[in-house]
Amino acid sequence: MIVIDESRYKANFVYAEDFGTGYFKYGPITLRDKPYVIPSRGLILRDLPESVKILVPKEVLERGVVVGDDIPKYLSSIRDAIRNLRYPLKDGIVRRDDEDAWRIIKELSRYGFQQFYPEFSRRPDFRGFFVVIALSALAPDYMKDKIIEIHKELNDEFGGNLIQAVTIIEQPFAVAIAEKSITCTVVEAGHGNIQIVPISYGPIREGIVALNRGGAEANAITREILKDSGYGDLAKDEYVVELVKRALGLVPKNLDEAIRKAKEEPDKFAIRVKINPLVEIEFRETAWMRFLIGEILFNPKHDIFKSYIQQGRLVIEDVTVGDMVFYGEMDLAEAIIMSIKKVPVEIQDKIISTIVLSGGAFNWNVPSGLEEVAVNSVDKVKIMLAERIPDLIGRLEIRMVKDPQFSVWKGAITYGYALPSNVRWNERTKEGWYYLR
Amino acid sequence: MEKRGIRFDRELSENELVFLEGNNRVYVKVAIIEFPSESAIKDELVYASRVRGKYNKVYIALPKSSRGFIDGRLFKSHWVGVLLYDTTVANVDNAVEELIPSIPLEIHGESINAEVLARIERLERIVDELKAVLSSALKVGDSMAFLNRELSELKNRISRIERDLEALRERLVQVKAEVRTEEAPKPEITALASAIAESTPSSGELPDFISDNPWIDVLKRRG
Repeated sequence: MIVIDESRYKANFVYAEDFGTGYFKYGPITLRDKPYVIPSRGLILRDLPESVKILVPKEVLERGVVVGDDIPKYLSSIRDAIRNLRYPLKDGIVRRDDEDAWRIIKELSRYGFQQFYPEFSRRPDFRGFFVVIALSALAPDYMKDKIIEIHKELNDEFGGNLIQAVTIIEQPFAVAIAEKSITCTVVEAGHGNIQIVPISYGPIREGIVALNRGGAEANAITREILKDSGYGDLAKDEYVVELVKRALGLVPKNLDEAIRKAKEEPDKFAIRVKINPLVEIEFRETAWMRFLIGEILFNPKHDIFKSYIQQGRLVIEDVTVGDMVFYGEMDLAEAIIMSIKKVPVEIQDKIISTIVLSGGAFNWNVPSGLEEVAVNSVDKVKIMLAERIPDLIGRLEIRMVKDPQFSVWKGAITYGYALPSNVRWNERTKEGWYYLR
Repeated sequence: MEKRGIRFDRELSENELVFLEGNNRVYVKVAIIEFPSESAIKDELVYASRVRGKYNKVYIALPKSSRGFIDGRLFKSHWVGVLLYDTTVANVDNAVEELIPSIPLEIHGESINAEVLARIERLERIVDELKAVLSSALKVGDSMAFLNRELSELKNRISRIERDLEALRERLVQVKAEVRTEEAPKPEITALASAIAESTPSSGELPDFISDNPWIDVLKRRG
């Protein structure tokens, strides 16, 4: 048997890909702190005018899809750019039969490898990358199988020299690794859903709980607030809704208390939002509604939300994807506790005492002067959990992830570096190295 | 531009220029669009609209090839003018054409006289100077903290190297024993092993997020 110092090899040739819904982050370990980033989108070259076709390189035409910096080159030539410019991941998941989306995923991956392979392949010691692919914790098995298949095809395209082995890691697990937390709960709040993943020396899959709401529900309630404030025309524009949500949204310490104060002192909570130099909108009588925007993410059970739902202006409901239930109305503290209850009793205490929040939907500020009634996401979760389990007060360590943009990529690189090469792919657990040669 | 009574004032960035026309301040965004399209031009309009309130006139300078893609009504409704430029024209005077004039806007507080503006500029300079003094003071503190971090990192590395060395010694003894007893290794493993033996890390160091990460030991135990 040969003893191989694989750490030395992997210190050069581990490569990670983080398939986020908005951005694709990729690159080898040698990039150190910052991966390369491009939007997770691709342009399908469909119905190209003949005059343009002549100018497009043959191999690009054959693949029929472009990503990254190449998109602007072709955008003006495509007849229906809106339909053909696609974001393949919806809430981190690619549909099984969405062929265009899979073509874009493959092109994103190829785009990354093309940037690094020429340089690495010249090194005499290069025998292929150890590739770590970071996917949503809710990614179904077919997605993992398909993405490995894609990497096999890419490896063949590069003459079989590109990849030594691939593995897959759940994004919240990568966050825990990047955060250097061995035992913790990672709560990832994205645009469409919230994932709660307990971690103890690895993700505890039985403990994963998903909520069917996220940034999108905050947008939906913002839209209704715009309508209630007399700006129904602006509510149609998603860009305006996002802008208003960011300017207006507040997370209340206690929703009833915050609404009472805001109604008593509307001037203190009133806000003007400049949409563009010519349009400025004011919220004064409806300023109390600012708290609904933040609250809906954490707890949509209040009667006010119910009234919106009954009027058909808001949809918050449970859905089932595969064998996973995405709860609609469950509040965040209850979801965290439900997740913890599913892990072995002896580690429950440790797992709940360190909670790492990640994802853009947790990004809320407290304007100065409103500290009495508004809080940030960390304090909100702390308050909610302490209300349910008073014993936890003083022992809870809740924090936002330190490097929200790149923590998944960093965790994936660390995982690839540390996971020994003799841990072979296990079809059942979808863990370990899948060798391509 | 000077023939039209317009004087260059300042360059805000590579593509953003400010001119003076009498008492008017005129902002010009030079758009470099290789393949003109309606959406690219709209993007430029959105960008320019953000500063509309700050200047009396706002223009977007577009390449001449954009002419067919410009929605004049849209620009007029935003009070943004359009200049067309042509870099192929030899005579500089003919290189820029005013396609849509920008409607002048009275800026709130325009009546504030130059003296007030000069005072603001003086105050801004003082603030900049104070920032420079503050940042140099902070740097001294930072460098101490940095040195401390480096020192503890070095200590960690040395102890890791010592541990690795010890483990390697033990492995070497084992390997010698195994090599004697086992048959020759498979060719592909030999190739990988020799590649690994040749490999020298480009930086010689691991990124910080790996080097003191407790997960390394946890994951390595899975092997």
